[in-house]
Amino acid sequence: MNGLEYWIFLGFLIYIVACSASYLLLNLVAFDTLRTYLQQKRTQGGQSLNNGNEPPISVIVPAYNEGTTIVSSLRSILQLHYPRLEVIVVNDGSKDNTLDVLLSEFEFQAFPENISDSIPCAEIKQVYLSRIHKNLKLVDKANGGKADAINAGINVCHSPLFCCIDADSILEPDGLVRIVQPFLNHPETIATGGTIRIANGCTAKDGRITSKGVPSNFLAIFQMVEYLRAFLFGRIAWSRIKGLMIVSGAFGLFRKSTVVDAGGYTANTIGEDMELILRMYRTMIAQDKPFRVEFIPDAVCWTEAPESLKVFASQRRRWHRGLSESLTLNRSLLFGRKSGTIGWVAFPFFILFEWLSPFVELAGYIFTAYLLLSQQLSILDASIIYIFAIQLSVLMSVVSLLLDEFTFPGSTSMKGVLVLIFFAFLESFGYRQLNMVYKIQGSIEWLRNTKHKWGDMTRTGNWQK
Amino acid sequence: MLQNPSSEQFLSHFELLKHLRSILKKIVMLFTGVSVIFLQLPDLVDFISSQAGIFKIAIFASFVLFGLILLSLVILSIARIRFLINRRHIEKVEAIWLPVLEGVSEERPPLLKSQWSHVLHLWVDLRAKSASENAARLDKLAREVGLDDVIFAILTPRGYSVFSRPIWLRTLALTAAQWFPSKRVINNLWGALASNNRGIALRACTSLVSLQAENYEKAVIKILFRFPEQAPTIAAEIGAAGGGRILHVLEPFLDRLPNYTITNFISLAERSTDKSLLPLIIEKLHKYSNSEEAGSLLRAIGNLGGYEQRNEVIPFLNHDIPFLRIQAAKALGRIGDLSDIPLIIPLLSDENWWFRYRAAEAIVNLGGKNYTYLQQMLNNEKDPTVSDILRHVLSEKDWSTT
Repeated sequence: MNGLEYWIFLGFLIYIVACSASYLLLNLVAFDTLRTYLQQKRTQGGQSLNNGNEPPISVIVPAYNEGTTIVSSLRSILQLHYPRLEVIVVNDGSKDNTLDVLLSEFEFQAFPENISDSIPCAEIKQVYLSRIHKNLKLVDKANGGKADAINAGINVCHSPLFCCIDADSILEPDGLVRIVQPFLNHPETIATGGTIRIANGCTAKDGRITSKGVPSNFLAIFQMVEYLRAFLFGRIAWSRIKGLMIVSGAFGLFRKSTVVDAGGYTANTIGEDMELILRMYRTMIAQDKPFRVEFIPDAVCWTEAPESLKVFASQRRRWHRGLSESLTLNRSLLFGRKSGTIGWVAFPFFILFEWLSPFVELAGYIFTAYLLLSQQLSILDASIIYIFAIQLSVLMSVVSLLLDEFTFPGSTSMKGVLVLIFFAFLESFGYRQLNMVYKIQGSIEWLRNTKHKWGDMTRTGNWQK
Repeated sequence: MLQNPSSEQFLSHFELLKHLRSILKKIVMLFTGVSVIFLQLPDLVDFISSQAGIFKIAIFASFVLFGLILLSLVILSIARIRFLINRRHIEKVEAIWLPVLEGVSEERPPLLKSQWSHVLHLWVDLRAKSASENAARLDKLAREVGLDDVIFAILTPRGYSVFSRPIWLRTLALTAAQWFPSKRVINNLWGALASNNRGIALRACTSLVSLQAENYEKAVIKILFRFPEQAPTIAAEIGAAGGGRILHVLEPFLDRLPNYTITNFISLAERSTDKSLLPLIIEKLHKYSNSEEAGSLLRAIGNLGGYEQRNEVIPFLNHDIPFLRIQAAKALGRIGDLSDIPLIIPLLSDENWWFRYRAAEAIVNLGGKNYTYLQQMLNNEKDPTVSDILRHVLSEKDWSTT
């Protein structure tokens, strides 16, 4: 290798090692955090979490063309073990039969609700109240996107805390009681997030998960491995070091007053969940108030992962575009004087190892191909580096499975665990590259400012009976 | 044959063995793989030493990663085996003890030391969910099987501290202790209150509150002063155990609590009949931090207050926040003084139908039949939903709507 090539090659290696070291460090932090958390959980000594001091919660369910899954999803939410619960489903101008299904299934009647105008949102046509469930409201509004739908829900809700759940998701019965605990213990808590798990391969009946399993669809298995990694060490560790930058849009609990102060969800962004959290951080820092965002590993929400390549591609493009938008819109956090771990650790990490990673990866492939073609690198040497990268990825996945075993013992069968390990190995041969392509496409869409609407995700609802 | 319990037991052990065998097989396979690598070690060393510096490090790192992967898999397998064994044990204990604790079975099997934690878990779950009429029977059964002796044994400090009971077991026993008001258990609770472990001390405190033990307020004050930074947690726990009755004990710490914890405490006070809380509620109303909290305080005054407390409520009838105007009207409705009706009347013309409705409800609560203002309001109301709800309220109060 010549001088310049050698230094570029070394640069790539340093990037891989830095990335690996950061992830390994996060792993260690996650292990320690989970150990403490599980110990605390055990010392609760069988006492119910539900202690009668829970603040009221409004669950906001934005729905756009969710006719196939909305009823079972709402039934599951209404069955949640939570003492003071209000459920607000927001029909965001669905083109399918979502509204009709809801009106007939829950016997809604028009209700002249007192709607706040604290956050701007598209026109609310009508608010309905269910005759069957007195705590269930339906907001019918003009289409404005997911963020706009949640904003409408916030304007209608009357609780100090609100929770966002995707309409196709199923919450574990004690999910809300668990996710609310940090708000009870730490007054400065502004948001909490729960674990999202893949429901493909599971069966659900009457809004409850009745059996858990590994999906049969290859794409869903890859995503299962990825979700385990993202939630069971990524978010636990970031939460511990006060650098959690994402509370998933599929299951998160927020303090309403802080969200209103921050201006609610931004309707013209794609990654509205991450963008909101970053904006909430900015608001709290500007107001010079203490704040805390926590992740609760055993507050679980089940959601359907895309099984077709087209939907998967759309989702990944949207996510990366969302990441790009969130980071650029909130760039003032980066190395800000009062930004703390967020601005000095998490933000640079996300830029380096999340936002830029597809580009670095692509450049790495091109550069390796160039070195191979110019015979400056042997296939054996290239394989050594690639095997190292694969092993690192497998290690992360295995550690996530281990954390999963500690958090939810026995939830995945031993056969399932082996399948997941095998797919963790396989993901470096195709899936990772595919992801890279979609992420780059997402970045290009962001640069070109192409319009991207929510609701691209087509749900099968096959797992819900 | 399957009906025979011993055969069932044998089959379950057999299944467990099968699991263990398959896991062992995988470990042996992995071990074989690792051995093969070790046999090739000299060649590998030659190969590595022939590589350039960077690649040498990469190969070394790969081996380290491979070792870590194997280690993780071994830990995963051990964790699974432990889980399976533990599950079997729990199932067995449940099968024996659940009917006994529920009173379905007349048998009184000996309570083995290895079963203590699971039986206590079962009991705490059962007792926490039991209806009040069932509670005395469950407590009696628990004493018959010797659960109070188990709690006493767990909580009594042993001479040798090296082998002291695990914290989680002591916490479990402290939780169960809240249903055993014997003198020796209460002594154990006071002892545990002095523990250096915050969780143990807090649990002992909540159990003392639940038992309404003599001087339990002292326990709360002690624990709040020892762990002031934990005031929200302590408040939540104690609130669940003792409700609004001990709100005054928490007074110096109220500023540290999250707003809705205070609000919820006030809600508990709202349901309480303890009028001694009123000065504290009124004081808090003078410096409330948000409308929700003020609303709860007004409701609490509505429930606990009398004629003298009306003066605290009346200024809120003209408050800028409509929600508070309504809470004030409702509070006056509950206090029940007829002379307040003219004060609420202006709210009947509020632009929000919901407030008009609540004001009407307050007047219904205050007034007698044939009250003209309400009748007028019903006649003038153009919004059909409001008229419907009004009729509904009136009919609920046995009011003539004709």
